[in-house]
Amino acid sequence: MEEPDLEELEWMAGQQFAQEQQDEDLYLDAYLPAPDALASPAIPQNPKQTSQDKGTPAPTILIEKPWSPPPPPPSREALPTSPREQGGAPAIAVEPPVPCKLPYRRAADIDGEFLSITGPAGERVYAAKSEVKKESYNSSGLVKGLLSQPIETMIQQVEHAMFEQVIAASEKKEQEGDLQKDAEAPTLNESLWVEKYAPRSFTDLLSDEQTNREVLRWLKQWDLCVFGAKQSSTSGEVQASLRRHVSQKQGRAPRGGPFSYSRPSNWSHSPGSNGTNRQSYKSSSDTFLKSEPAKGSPLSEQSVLLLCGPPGLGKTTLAHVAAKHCGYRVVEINASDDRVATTLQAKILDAIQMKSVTGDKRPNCLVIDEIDGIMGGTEGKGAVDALVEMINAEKNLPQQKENEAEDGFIRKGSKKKGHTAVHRLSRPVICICNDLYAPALRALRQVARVHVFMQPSTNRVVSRLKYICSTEGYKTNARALTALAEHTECDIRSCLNTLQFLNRKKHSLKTVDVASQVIGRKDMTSSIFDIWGEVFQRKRMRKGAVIQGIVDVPDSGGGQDYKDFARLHELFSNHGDYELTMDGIHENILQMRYHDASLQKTVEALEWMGDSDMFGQCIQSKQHYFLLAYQPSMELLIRRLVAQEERPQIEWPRSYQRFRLDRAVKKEMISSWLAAMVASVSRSVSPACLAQDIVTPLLSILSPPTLRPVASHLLNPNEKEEMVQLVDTMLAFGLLYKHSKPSHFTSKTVYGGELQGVLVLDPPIDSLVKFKDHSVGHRELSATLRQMLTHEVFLLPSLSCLLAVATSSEKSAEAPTADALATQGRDVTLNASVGDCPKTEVSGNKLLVGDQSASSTLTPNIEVGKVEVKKHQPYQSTNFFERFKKSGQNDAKLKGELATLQRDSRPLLYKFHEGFTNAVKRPMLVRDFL
Amino acid sequence: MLWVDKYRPRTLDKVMVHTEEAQRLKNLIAQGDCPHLLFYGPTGAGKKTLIMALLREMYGVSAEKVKVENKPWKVEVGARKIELELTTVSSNHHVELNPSDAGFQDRYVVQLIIKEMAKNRPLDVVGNKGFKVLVLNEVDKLSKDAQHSLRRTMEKYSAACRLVLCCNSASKVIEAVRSRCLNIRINAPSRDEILDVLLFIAKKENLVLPPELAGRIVLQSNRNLRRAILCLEACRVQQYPFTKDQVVQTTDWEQFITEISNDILNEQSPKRLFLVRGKLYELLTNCIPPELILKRLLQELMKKLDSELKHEVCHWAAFYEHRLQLGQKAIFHLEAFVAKFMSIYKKFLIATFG
Repeated sequence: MEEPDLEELEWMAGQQFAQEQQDEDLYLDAYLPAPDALASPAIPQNPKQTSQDKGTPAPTILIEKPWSPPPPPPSREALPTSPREQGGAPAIAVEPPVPCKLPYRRAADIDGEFLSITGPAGERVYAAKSEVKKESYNSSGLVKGLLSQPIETMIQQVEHAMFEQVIAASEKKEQEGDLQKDAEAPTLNESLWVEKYAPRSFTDLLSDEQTNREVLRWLKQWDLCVFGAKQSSTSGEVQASLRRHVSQKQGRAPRGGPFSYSRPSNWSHSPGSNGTNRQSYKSSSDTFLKSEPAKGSPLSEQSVLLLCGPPGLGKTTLAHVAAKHCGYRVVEINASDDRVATTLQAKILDAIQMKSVTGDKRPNCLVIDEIDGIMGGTEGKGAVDALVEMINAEKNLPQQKENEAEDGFIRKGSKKKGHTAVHRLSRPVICICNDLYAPALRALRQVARVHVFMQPSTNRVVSRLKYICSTEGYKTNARALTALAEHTECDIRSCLNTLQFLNRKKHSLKTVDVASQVIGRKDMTSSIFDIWGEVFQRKRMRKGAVIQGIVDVPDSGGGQDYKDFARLHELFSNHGDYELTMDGIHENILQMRYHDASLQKTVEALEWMGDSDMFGQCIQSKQHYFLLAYQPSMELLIRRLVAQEERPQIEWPRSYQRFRLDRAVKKEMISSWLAAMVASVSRSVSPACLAQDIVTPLLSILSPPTLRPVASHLLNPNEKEEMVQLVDTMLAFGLLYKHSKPSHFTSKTVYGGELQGVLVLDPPIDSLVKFKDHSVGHRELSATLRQMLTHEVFLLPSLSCLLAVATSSEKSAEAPTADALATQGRDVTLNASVGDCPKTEVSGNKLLVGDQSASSTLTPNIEVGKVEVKKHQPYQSTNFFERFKKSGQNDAKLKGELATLQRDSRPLLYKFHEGFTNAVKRPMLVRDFL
Repeated sequence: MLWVDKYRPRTLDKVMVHTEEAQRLKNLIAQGDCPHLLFYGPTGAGKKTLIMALLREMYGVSAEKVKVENKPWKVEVGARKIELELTTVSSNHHVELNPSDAGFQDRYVVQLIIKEMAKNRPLDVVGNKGFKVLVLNEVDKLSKDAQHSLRRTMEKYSAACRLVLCCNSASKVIEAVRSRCLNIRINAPSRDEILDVLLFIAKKENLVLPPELAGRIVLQSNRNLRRAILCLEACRVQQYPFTKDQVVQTTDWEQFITEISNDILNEQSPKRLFLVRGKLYELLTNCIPPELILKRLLQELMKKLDSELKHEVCHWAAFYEHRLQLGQKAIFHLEAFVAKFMSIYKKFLIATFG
């Protein structure tokens, strides 16, 4: 009932005020009081009161009305207006069924509230009071409730804020006044433009719209988890803002408009708190909203957002604004905070589990800024790992979330596993980085949702700059601003700082300034792969793409070429790691497909690399760092030779690093080999000549083809001599055959069995002559022979003695002595082997299995223990040697032989003199004595 | 024990190849004192043999009683403390060491050890020299810093110790050090000398050595006495009695370089160059000095090269060898030489055969 009235009233008011001069006074006068009356509700209802004068015709109309039949319930009437439009005749005005608009004669005719009006002649009429609908497109000041807060409150707020500002300013002034009386106050009060004009709401963001939406949508997916089932209501908000965003793209949205960004504090309940808003927008369908996950579905698989892009594009701003927009309280961890693994983890946990106690009831949203700046090395990696671990914990438990979402956080595994409490993320985490491929982020990159920031379009940036300049009263022109934006690669932060700087200096921005060095250029470091890419890839020449702003530097004769050169030179020198760059070029250059029929280009490129290397060496050894300035030009020269338009496949330079590692290993091996050699040998060789001259012949000497793999007692004297020679050489060079890996079953194999593991030389000098794809021409000894040699090397002293004894016994026919000696010798070695069994494992094993009787004699000895062994040993050994010497003295011939033998085994004798009784302690086999 | 060590002359009188130098050295120390000495010459010429014989001449048999020590040294440089481990071979009368093992800290090692020796100056007993001898190997690999620090220490402590320096190339020893020493060049023995030595050894070992085989071994050895003797022994082990056409084994790395040269001559392309690069890396990994690789490669290439090109190729080999010495990353320069050769050779092939 009220609505039509309202419309009509408005319409009438509009029409009437427009043509008030044409209408006759009568009608105008009659109607005017009504608004007055409405506006002043203070008029008492008493019907008998007198009122002020009015025009005479008015009573006529009013009086006329009761005569007409009782007013029909005013349904909707466009009709009543038309007659008034057409003509001014009072009759027509009176007649139509408008009367509801007009006052009633009797108060009883009005249902609802009414006002009494007294005419100038003393007549009393009554006007019905009708309510004005709140939603109206008319911004008439009479309508209340259009604003979310009454105007009074807002004015109060503004006044209060201004008051506070003034107070703050005066306080500041006072403080500064204390310090220095005549400090320029205005300078201090001016805030940075970057701060001042930072986007405060989602619609103000300058960054790429697509990215903005994606971020917002991702954040929205948390609603289910964070806010419970409030998804639909918030989506209305998003949609509303988006609609507005489309409609008023450039303008800055009024703060605190009808859709306040502050979420109602009781967000955990009340699904329909702002239902009226929602309904009105429900009908419109937006594809973007349809793609949101259905209610109740688990969170999207990527629970961390990773924003990356060059500095100054507004990543941090986006994160803050979007989080605020979605009703989160932003908790930021940035590079200035301590970010080792433990503290970071604690901070994340704080952020996702705690609520602010200071009244701000919004849930937290964690923003980790500059995450790529997290320290390299183990600590920083640990920090990122901690985060990744939480994310993974999240994935493992998608179903539990529903029940426990209200808790805000969930401890996993306390029931199941007990010891490790892995916390899972229950609040959104946004990470921000500049370099997506920083090594520290490797793990995170795989689990996070990655958004790469693109440069905003120049137009957008320029229009914002223009707006700011005009607000600040700084004169500039669009061309210069465009040039500035291009120059800084749309880094709005540096643009603003530059502008503010110039403004302060009262300079005006000119195009020339931008191109010349007046304005500092961003010191951009690019990743090493970018550098290599630049070297190997030439951008296709696009004539149209030349930006006009920068070209008109007066002295840039070369145009595009010059610019290219300058850009690359700067790029290369900014990176700085020339050695790595060269390594990469060297690694990849032969894979590039540049036209080079007679390898001329390759030669040249390699020469430049060599030059770079020589420069590097000179810089290092003589500290001539000024030479560093020439390094980038080598890269440029190589680029000139090999750059192609196609996209190169670039690999990390591994081979040089691998080569260095391998060589270090081999060098280490050689030096340890040198250390193992007998001093008289090692002093005459140098590491270099070992590798060059000695190894190859030595290996052939060590593997004589004539040696038969038979037991040593079966060898003829010549062969025995040879054997002794060989063993002697091995000892002198500190070489042994050893099992490649000590495994358990080798100790159990029967002596003579072929499975003893692979015996290899130790140190592995044969690796020095191993080349890939090169067949080594060396004969290798058979496994049995190696086995034997291993044995012999341990035995050598005894063997040489035995050899002497054997020959002597042959000649002097002192068989019994030899026999006795042999048995004694066996005893000795058995005892000894009990003593240091673990030391000589291989021979010890053989001993065990070699002779049954030996093992039977062994058992009591073991029980007796070491003491007895020690007691026996000196006696036995001296006895052994006495016998030995005696036999030598007995025979003159034998003596000579012994002398030669002694000379041959000098290194061992030498050791003996040092108190090392190697000669006797070695374990022996019985068969060696036979 | 290898024949190399077995038949190494122990005294200056017994040397077979550098008799003249040995005689001079003997006269030099006959007075009981000697200046600092710098021995230089190619490997396998007999520098160390001479030094050892010299020491024996000075101190008698006891100089041969050596022991190897792996001793940790502690150096205090200002506030810094450097700890390094060095292997030294020493007797009562002398210390031998390889200061370049200490890397860039070689300077401290040199100073420290000389000071230490000066502190423990032996008493001037009868029959004892009043000084010790410090033998420094591979002086040419010492950093310039170390060499400069050496020159003052040499003078300051000359009362307590004599330095015997040993290196391959005197050109890498700074002028100041060279002028403080008596320089003795030990050149590579001539082929005849090597042949004599081989025949001598064969005689001692009661071997019948056919002169043809001996000649081939000598040729193979590149005037390196050590290699000749080792080679002889290897031949003896592999096959005895000797035959005239017995295989004389070349070292593996030389065979490998022959392979590389074949690769280069068969195809000249970036792809092949890449293959060669891999092989060069292998050689370098096995501690073969890059100069030697370049030299050997040139020799191998020369064998199959048209005489027209030889001069040019030699020129470039020298050019890149020089750059190699100036630079750090041998592979760049070696590869540059290979590429250059490929380029020249390819052009030549195209010009000749169309």
